[in-house]
Amino acid sequence: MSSISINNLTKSYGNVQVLHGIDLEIQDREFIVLVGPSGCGKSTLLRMIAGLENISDGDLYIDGSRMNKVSPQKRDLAMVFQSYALYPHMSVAENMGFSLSLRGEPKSVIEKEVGEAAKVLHLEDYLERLPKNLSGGQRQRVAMGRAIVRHPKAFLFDEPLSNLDAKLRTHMRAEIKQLHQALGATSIYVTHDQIEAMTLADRIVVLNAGRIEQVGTPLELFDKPMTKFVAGFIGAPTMNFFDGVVEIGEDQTPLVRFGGVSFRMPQNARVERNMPVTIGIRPQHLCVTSSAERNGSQGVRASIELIEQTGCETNLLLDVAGAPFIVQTKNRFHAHAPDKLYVHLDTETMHVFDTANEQRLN
Amino acid sequence: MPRKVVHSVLCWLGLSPLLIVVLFPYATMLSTALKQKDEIFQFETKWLPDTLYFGNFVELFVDRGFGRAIGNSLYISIGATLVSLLVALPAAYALSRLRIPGQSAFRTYLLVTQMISPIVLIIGLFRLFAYLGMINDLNALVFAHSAFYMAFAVWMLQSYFDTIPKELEEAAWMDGASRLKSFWRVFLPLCLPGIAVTSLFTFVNSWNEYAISLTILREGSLQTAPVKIAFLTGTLYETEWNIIMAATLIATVPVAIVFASIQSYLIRGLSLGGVK
Amino acid sequence: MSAMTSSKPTPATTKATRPRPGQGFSNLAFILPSILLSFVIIGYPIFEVVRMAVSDVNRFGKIQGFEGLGNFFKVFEDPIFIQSTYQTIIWTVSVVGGTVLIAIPVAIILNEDFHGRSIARTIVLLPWAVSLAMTALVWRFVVNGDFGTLNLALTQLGLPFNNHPWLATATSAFTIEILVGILVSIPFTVTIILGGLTSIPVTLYEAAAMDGATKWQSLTRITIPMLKPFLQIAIVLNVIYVFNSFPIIWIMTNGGPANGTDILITYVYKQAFAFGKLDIAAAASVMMFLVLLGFSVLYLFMTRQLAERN
Repeated sequence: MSSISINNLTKSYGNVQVLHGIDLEIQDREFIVLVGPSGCGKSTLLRMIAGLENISDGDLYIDGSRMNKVSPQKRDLAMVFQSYALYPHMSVAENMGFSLSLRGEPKSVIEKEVGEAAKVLHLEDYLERLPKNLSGGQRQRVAMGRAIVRHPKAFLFDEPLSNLDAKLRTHMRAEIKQLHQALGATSIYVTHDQIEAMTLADRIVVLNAGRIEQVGTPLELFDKPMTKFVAGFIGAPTMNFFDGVVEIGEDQTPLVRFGGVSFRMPQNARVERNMPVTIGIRPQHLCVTSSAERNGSQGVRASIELIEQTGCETNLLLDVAGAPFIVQTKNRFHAHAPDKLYVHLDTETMHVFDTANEQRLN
Repeated sequence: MPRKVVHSVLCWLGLSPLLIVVLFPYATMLSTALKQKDEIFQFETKWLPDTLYFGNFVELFVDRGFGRAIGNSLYISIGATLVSLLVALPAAYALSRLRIPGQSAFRTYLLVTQMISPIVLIIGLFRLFAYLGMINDLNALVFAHSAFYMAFAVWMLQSYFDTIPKELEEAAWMDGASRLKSFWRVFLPLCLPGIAVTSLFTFVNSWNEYAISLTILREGSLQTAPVKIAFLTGTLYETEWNIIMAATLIATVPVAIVFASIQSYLIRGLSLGGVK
Repeated sequence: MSAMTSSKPTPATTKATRPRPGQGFSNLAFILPSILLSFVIIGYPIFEVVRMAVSDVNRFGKIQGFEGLGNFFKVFEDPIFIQSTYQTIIWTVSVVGGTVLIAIPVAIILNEDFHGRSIARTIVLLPWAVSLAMTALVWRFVVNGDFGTLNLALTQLGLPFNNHPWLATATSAFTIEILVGILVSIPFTVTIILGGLTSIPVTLYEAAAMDGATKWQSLTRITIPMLKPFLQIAIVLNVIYVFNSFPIIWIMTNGGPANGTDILITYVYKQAFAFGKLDIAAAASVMMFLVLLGFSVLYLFMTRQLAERN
């Protein structure tokens, strides 16, 4: 097991720069998830760590040794590909034992290692099959088994679950997590799915347009997104945003005006008068009532555009002063479009961003 | 199900005129090759021979030296297949996997070499081999055929190589395989069927070629099978169709069987289950 | 045969085909052998043919002086060349036209799901496997007036074709040759069209059926328009192949009777190897070569367009 250290790593294809100076320290045994929209450079970063892409500039260290010019064969990392990349002409056992046989391990060792991995992954009955005779989930397991038998320095996962259907994906997600808990291997996992990122990661790295937006634990990212991008990317349904201008109230508290109503902003927000700000509130944190007043504070008038029932929750799609809002509530809601109601914004759940540079202000 | 039967009958009926025309020469070949010479030149011709007669085949090999022609054809076709594979394999691998300066120019170049029929250049080819002292040299045909069928082999191989995901090689690298090892243990076993089909195709093309062989191999003992057979019609006072049809049967049927088997393979394509 | 692979869409993800950066010029070593081979075997003859076309060459191939365009003028003064050109046009247009007209319905039937389809496909593609020389030879015997099986079959059907000499007149010989030309061009053409047919997604027909299209309408409104680029490619490639198809005419009639079935390629061959007029033959070859080059450019242009459409 090992630690990986990335210093000011950049990648360009000709004149096009796809990664701009990435810095990241990955601890031993840590499960890191790289997440971001497609084209953000997360797969490229993973492939650079693997040695499958050249490093344009910057340094990559594994356990303290510089790896920039080391070929993938010698980095001792295991990778699970999105397509699984199982060797079609080899049986499951041969696939899993391939790296050991390349290393020249004796047959008995290979059999033992493959057998153990197969047991963990419930593949004992399929060892003699060819990959084409396996289901999607089984192939996925073989790909993981191929990584496990090697006891590599770290596991690299490149969107390993995206070829599975939703149900199997949830299941395999849990298996990967359990496997990590059992093996404690350093893991880097690339995905575009924020739920996968939240559920699997010790720490999440959010990438956008070749830059790191934020690094933190899942709950840090959820509770305190440092940029508007992270706020919008993490959490479902997506956070609601609206733009406003800062006013200063009589008691020197900052206020923001929205839908004809002035709301108190969090006390710690670093704002000044007339500053344009973007306020974000999660759909789960909004409260709707039929009356304008609640606990002495004023709500904004809104009209229902659509109601979605998911069973557990109700999603209300609202038009609030011309801005589209989503409210998620646990209550069964008996209303119809275009009924009118009032939305209440609570100060403590507000995320305040600078409209100009989209950085967090509270 | 009966609906499909009706449909099938209609489909076969629609195709039948073409099928009859395609198969008619085979019936002719078979019918004639198994007859005695006198039977063909009878006033009343018939389809079925009076008795099955295999003497034509014996005469073909014993008296007419057809075995020699088959040997020449085999030498040229196998040689051309090997040489064209030798140059096409690295080119196809490079086109599929590596970055080459002027890649699209090379593709266009290959295409143009494929478009130019050797017969248009036949005078130039004759002079080239005359300079090289290779008139009446089977190796001239080996090189000529491999040059003209190479482009096709490159495309064919490249399209197979492209079906083999790059991730498989990358996975092998991650598993610790050197470039050579991953080529040898992962890439090559996977494209073996593609290489086999390409070889057979080149072989069949070379086997069937007529114009260059006719022009470059001027000596009777060096003629290839198609040239030899065509010559049988012209050199004798009366054309012995029974011998000729026996020869065409030998020269076409094995090749047709080979072709039929790979043609279905070509359409089916490689269906490897490793990816998706 | 080239079109089969070049018009086939190449699979694999963009990630898989993305060339690895770096190591540019050393990779040229991979393609060098193929370039070298074709430069010598194809490039040098081109040079030779062009050189002879503008030279005065004696019958032993010795170059005796520069002729400029003189050989080309001589070619144009030869009435047999003009006749051969005319016959080449008839030959090419008839064979390619006939081939495409027959290949479309055949391919559509072969694309249907019916019992024994793979056998039918194999039989239809069979002529592709056989040497053109062999095919021509067998057909020469089939249409033989005295003992040919065509007359035998027609007579058995009660038709008055006993001892009909099919190859004796230029018109009927040329017709027979065109029919054989069509027969051997069908397999390749059917393969291209089948490729086009399988590229049309089934959902398109289902959508058309939902929109109320009859079978005939979905044929004329979906199949044929979607096939158009494939047909264009099939036509151009066939023109290239048929234009310089040598063995059929050479073996069946040798250009006769009375040059009545000569096309340019047999004209060239006779000039060079029967009459020893190498310069004339070279000049005619150069002209054919230019025509071929023109069609090759057209083909390139069409495949580019098809690639862009996908």
